[in-house]
Amino acid sequence: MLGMKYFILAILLVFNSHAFAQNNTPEKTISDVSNGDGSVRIIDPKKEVSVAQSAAIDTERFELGLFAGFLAVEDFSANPVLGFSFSYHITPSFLAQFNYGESDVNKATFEELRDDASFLNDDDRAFEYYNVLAGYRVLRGRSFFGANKKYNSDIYLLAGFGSVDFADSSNSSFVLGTSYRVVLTDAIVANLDIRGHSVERDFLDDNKRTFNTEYVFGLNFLF
Amino acid sequence: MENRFQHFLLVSFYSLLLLSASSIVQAQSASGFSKDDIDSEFLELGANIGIINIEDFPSEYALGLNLTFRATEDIFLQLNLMSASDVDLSSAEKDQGAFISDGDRDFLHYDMLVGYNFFQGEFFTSNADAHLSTLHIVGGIGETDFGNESNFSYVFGLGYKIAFYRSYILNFDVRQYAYHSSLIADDDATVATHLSVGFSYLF
Repeated sequence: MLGMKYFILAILLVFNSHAFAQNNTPEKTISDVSNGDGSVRIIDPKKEVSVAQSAAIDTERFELGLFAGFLAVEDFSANPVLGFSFSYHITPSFLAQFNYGESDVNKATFEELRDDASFLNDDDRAFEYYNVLAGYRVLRGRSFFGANKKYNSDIYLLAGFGSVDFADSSNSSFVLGTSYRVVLTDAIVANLDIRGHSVERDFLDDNKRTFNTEYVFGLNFLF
Repeated sequence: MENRFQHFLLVSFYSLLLLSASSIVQAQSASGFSKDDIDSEFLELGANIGIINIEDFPSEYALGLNLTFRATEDIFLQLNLMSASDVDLSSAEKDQGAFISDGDRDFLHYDMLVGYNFFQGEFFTSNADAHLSTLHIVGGIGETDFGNESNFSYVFGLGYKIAFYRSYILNFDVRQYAYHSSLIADDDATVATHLSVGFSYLF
């Protein structure tokens, strides 16, 4: 019985050493990869190290977006506003932006008390504006949402000119604001903008410069 | 009924304030670190300047003061006082006569807010120094005095803070004060929108 065990062990050793010899036989020797003149040709393996990068505005130059928020109109009330914007990143620090927005302004309290008098037609109650703004990135950084999510973000100062149609008149406007922008993905940017629209207005024979405050939340598609 | 509800809100807010303060004291004493090992700044004292759009009235420059208590990393409590003096006549008042007399045209508002830091962040200036920042939302209750009326107010707002130095913080805020006013029509729902920029000192 003991002899049988030695016999099996010997067979296993013989086969194992044969297999080891086969596996360790190099397919090519140094002389096989030499250039013939004695020098050795070194074969570099392909090195592809993947680097994780957060979403950023890098190759994209344009943004097309929608926004919604509130607009407080002087002498009237605060109402929802909707609009769209188109931005062009001239450099990483500068952008040019076009905005269009519209808000249906509710009747002021004095109008509701005087139902017999028509101060504004329904068509003239829409506060409609467009403007072209220049934006300068004053700060660039990162925003953390909870413990595990991190986004590139920027703060821009905005300034520019535009036009406002309201109360049966169209007037040029001066716009000043700030924009907090968060790059959610390589294709989507979220923004929180606070803007002031300064515009001349002639209403009830009172010609004056009005200040109208707006804050909006927007989502923009990068391309 | 409404007064009871407002009273309940006020009591709840003060209770929250006391609970937050006591929890921080407990956390400090249980930590085992010395006082110098942790950031000990919990209060911010600030001032701001801005513009307020009062419904049915013109926009007016406004000045404000605030005291902020950092209850946790994400939540803060804030007391605000703002004032706009001698609010101008609206176009309707110039046409039909003043709705309120000259002596009652000062707008005064104070409130107590709870804030939540929605986005914590850091920003870099040109010399690559990192400055802490937050984007926050706030909500709370307060009182608005205007036109010889005092009205309970609900407050909602958002804003962001940037700490340019460890203790000096730049603030941008927009707030909406919602209340019922009887200045022009009886018990009319009114909203005033306040936009401000300010500095605060952390200590």
